[in-house]
Amino acid sequence: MRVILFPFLGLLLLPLFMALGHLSYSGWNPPTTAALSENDVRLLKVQQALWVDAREESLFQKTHVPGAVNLNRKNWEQSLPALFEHYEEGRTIIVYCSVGCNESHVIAAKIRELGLEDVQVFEGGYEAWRVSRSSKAGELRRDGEGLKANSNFESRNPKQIPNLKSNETK
Amino acid sequence: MKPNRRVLLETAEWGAVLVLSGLFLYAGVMKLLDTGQFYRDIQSYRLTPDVLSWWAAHYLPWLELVAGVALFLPKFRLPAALIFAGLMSVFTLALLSAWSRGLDISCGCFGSSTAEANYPWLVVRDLGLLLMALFLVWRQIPPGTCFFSRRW
Repeated sequence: MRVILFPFLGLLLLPLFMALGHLSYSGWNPPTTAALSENDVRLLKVQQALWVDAREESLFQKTHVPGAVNLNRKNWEQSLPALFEHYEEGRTIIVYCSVGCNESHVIAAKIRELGLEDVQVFEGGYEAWRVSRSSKAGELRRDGEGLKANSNFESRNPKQIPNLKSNETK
Repeated sequence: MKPNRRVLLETAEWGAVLVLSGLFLYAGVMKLLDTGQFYRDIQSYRLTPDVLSWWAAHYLPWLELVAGVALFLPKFRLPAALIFAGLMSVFTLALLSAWSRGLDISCGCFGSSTAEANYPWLVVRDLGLLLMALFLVWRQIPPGTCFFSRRW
């Protein structure tokens, strides 16, 4: 037993020392990407955000958040110019994909590597955004002037936001 | 033992050494080239906290490289084969877990791969590699050591 124990421990410990050296270079803690909840999306001035759809092009073609740019790892080179075409200084970029999908985090990290800092991930994905548009929860519509809310959801008038919070707690 | 059978088993052993070593050395290098992407691939399985995923993303590639080289050294072949068997068991279980939860992941097997998860193929491949590692373990156990050891 001792014959294999020391070589076995050696094979486990040697990479550990190498990993510690690697971690001292790249950082002991992981980088973080801010994640948005559905409530955050409701309360944010979403008409100013640039939505990025990280799903496959076929899904994007079927339906997507109005005004969204389709950008994923497959079409990264072709679609990147479209991102910069729609981007303005100070505009929040919100990346989404499907529920259970990690591609939104990957694309958000890649966009941040380009130097654009205000990048958020909408965790609920397109499905949650679609639910937020249902008649029960209120409706977010996009017209030529930007996203517009009615009744319980969100208004461009900031004074109505406290009412939204109290409605949600009922 | 018939000479033909001995030659066949020794050839199969070397074949398994070359396949496992080659695969894991390649996988380790690809993961080291883009550790951030490997970290995000581990995160996509949603099995571990972020800090643990970060540390695993830095440790696993080095483990694969060291064990991949050790497989060529007779004294280290049994521990290396045990490590590979352990790794393939964990990878297979993680894949099955992600599959059962309906997650859409990039498998992360070879670093920054854009390949989408084809679960049946990945599970079959990982089980094949696990069997290869277990075969190497069996071949390294000295004859007569235990019930599972070979007899020649």
